[in-house]
Amino acid sequence: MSHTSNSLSSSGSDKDRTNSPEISFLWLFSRNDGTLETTIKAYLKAISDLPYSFELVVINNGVPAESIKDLTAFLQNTGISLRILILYRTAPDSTAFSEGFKQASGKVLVVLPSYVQVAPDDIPLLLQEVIHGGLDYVASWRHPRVDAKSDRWKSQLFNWLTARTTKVNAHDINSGLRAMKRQVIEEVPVYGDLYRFLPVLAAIQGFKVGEVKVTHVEERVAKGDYRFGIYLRRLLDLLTLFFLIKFTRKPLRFFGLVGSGVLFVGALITGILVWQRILGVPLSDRPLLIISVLMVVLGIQLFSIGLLGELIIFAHARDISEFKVEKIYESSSHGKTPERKTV
Amino acid sequence: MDLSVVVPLFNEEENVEELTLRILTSLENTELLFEVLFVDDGSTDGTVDRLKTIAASDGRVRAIQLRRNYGQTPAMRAGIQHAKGTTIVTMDGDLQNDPDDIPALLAKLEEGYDLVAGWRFDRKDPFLSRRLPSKIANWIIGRVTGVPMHDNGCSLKVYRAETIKRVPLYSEMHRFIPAVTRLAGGRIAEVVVQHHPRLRGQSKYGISRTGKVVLDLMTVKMLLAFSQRPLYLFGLLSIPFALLSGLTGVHALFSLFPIEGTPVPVVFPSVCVLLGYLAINFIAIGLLGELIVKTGKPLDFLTVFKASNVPHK
Repeated sequence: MSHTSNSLSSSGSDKDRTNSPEISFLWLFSRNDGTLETTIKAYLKAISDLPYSFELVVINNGVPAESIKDLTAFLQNTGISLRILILYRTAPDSTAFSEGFKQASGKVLVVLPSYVQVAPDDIPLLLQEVIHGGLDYVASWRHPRVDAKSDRWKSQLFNWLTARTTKVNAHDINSGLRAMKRQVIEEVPVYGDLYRFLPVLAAIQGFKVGEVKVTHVEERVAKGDYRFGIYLRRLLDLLTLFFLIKFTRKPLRFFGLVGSGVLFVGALITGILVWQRILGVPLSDRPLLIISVLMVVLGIQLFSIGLLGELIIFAHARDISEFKVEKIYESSSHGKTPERKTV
Repeated sequence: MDLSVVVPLFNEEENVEELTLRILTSLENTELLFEVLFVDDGSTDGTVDRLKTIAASDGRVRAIQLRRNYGQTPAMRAGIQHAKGTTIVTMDGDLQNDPDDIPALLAKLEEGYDLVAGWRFDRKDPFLSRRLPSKIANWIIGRVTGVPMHDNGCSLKVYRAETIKRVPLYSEMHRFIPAVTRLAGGRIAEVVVQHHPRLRGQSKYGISRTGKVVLDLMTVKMLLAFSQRPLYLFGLLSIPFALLSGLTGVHALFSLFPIEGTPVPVVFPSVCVLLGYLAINFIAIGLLGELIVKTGKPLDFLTVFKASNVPHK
């Protein structure tokens, strides 16, 4: 394998498939924990008998290529349609996946967890829904879960928060196995760490999103990844999502609402203090004045940030269409050139 | 094509057929080459199925199905973008507007206007929940934008396609189309139209939107007055705070050397600093605004309005 190319494809010799297979499986890993080969073997066993043409896109997210030589050799010898994407430095999952999505050419994209998180035999359940069930995006729902109670609670809390914030009811937003139509990834902008919210973003774009219960096999909490910072980041992601969903086109509605609330309270307190000053209580005895003036300042500032947001939308995004057309119906016979009607 | 009638629909299955019939009857009496363009805004009832049937059987009717419910403005914009006519009519799909009014609006447009809005003079809606709030809203919108309209909320409007296709129409801006159009140089007229009570289906409006409308109005005002020079706006805003900061600052300076025995003043210097901070912050935000505007898309609809200002025919 060459180190200078970061994408290398090797199509199977005898089972050569057409240029665009029906399904692209994407498999991303960020560390070599010694189980990569057994993992992909388990997946291949489950998917190679499916009645669809497929390709496998392997995304090596920063694992040194020498350390996984055996895996690469194994994959190349399987004869499946294969693409290996090597990122020389570990990137955030969303970045790595969006590179992977660019390489994938299938009509349906299936993301495989980096380890055997859910039963590989459940993959067809998701495919069924996407290919025949009319859904555009299918998430997997690990149910019942097998990991520690505390992790389950955290996960439940996060899913509940997400559902409350976005009004999209998903039970298990973090489950690794997901299947979607190609169109979803082409039309839904995914950036930052918002990849995990893809089902929510897709639902907001009007795609039909569903979930399928799958058997939970194992949960690996990567060491060092789940420090306090990750929860803070998740919460900030959620805030971003909330703002993007509700106020992208009307930032003043958000900042204006919060700002006018703060401004109102601040102005009220200031007014009372000034009134009492007139009645004889000197202002220099009232430290509360600083807080109330600060609130006035903050309120006005939030408001002006909202105005700035409106300027951004107006100057940069006023032409971007907010809607997606599903279908246009017109009569084929004379739809293009309506007849002139005369009385 | 002469005319496109754009009708956004949301759960109007009971009204679609009659509406189509009425529009077609009204327009068949004119000599115009027209199309009716329905926009289904993610209806959950049988609206789409009925539209499908109608569009398949009549070449003058087209229907755009949006992927989900986006709201009235995006639906309207979808229709306007797909419209093929040189003149565009928008109207509600609830049969409260009367297509028979379209010829009168068109005649007015021909007198040399860019937008002719319907005015529901004899409005058939409940007074307290609909008509009164609407009256107040129209008055406020007129005062703030400087474009007095009797009825901003009437969907029945006629536009020149070249103008309306360039008016920035996003979020929930449809309420302010007349204001934006006039201030961009377009000529506007109002014509009294009929209004019928809603017979079938559910009304999709409520009074709960007041706060949003007020904030949207501020946005429109800001965009109209300052979208090219935001620093003017924020500079203006910073003046009172700079003045107050100065005044409290002078007061604070005098008390820098307190008379023996009195407490050291804290409040005035702090207030001075806070207000001064706000004033400077405004300037910074204004500069950021300039940056945003200068890197953004230039306003192209202004020139179009000027070109089409000349009365047609």
